[in-house]
Amino acid sequence: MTTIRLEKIIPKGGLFDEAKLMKALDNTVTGIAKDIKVDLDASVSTFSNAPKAKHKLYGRWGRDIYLEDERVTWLNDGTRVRYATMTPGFVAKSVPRTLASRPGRGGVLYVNRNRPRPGIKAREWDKTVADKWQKLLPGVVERMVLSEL
Amino acid sequence: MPNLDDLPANLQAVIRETLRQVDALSAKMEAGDITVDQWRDQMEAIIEAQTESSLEAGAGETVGAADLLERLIQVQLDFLAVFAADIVANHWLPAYRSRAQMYAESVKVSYYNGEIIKQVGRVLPLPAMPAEGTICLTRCGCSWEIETVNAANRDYDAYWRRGKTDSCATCIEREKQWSPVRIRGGELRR
Repeated sequence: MTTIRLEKIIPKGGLFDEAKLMKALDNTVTGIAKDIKVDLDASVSTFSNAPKAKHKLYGRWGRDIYLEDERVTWLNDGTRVRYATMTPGFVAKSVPRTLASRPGRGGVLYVNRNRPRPGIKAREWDKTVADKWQKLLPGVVERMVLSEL
Repeated sequence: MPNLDDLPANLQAVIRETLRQVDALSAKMEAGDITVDQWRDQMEAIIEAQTESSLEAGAGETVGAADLLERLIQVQLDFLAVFAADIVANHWLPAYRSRAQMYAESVKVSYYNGEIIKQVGRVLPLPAMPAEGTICLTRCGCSWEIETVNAANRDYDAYWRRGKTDSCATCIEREKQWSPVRIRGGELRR
């Protein structure tokens, strides 16, 4: 039989100071919001009139970080069809699940709504950035906690 | 061997030593001299020792940040577990030598945490460290430069400095947006 016994360990003068704990959480949320903003902005940085990620607060620890731009919506979510025909040798500035953009080449040649083509592949920046920082979150929390000790 | 010229000399030394040990281990795997379990055990030992060395190299002394050290090591051991599972599934592939070398470069994150401790005597609530969440991953050559505004109030300005050859999209954007990030009263400003 294996017996497991838990012992409560309270660090001396540590994070059970509520104000310190609150500040560590504030810093974690602010830090991650900054990280996500950088990643979203980097995803579209080579676009003409590149949009900048916006930052909306929800109470003390809620944040929405998003790109408000019609092109971004199409690219992020993808489309079933597209009506634009691109120039020969066209190279897109963005690729699915990549938080960076490149110079690309070419552009729209013409738009014909009577001639639908295969849709835009979803870039999924929102999901990619969430997956990325979900994995990195423990390290950020650790640093914010340590900065308060 | 990755280009380390842009990095501080003492960090280069830690990475070179780690690379030497990791490459020796890769050679044993290629020759079939050790099992995957033995490789993983020895890789874990290398990561633990070298992460501690790099934190100390960054801080310039023995630091007492045991929690930080443990966390830094654990992140790499989690990646290592996935790597070991891949080796079991695929056997040792030639590309795994350079994948293993990335663990040597991962010590940069602990080095830069140590460097912050050296600059201001404590860990700061910075949004990210070099090589943490960057597209260039552990190849990142960036660093934080900290300007103390008022130490007693815990007021700092932190500048993301890009390495000479570092041109990944994340690092470029961080340089634009994080020059500086402001910490006031120990709180990271929005």
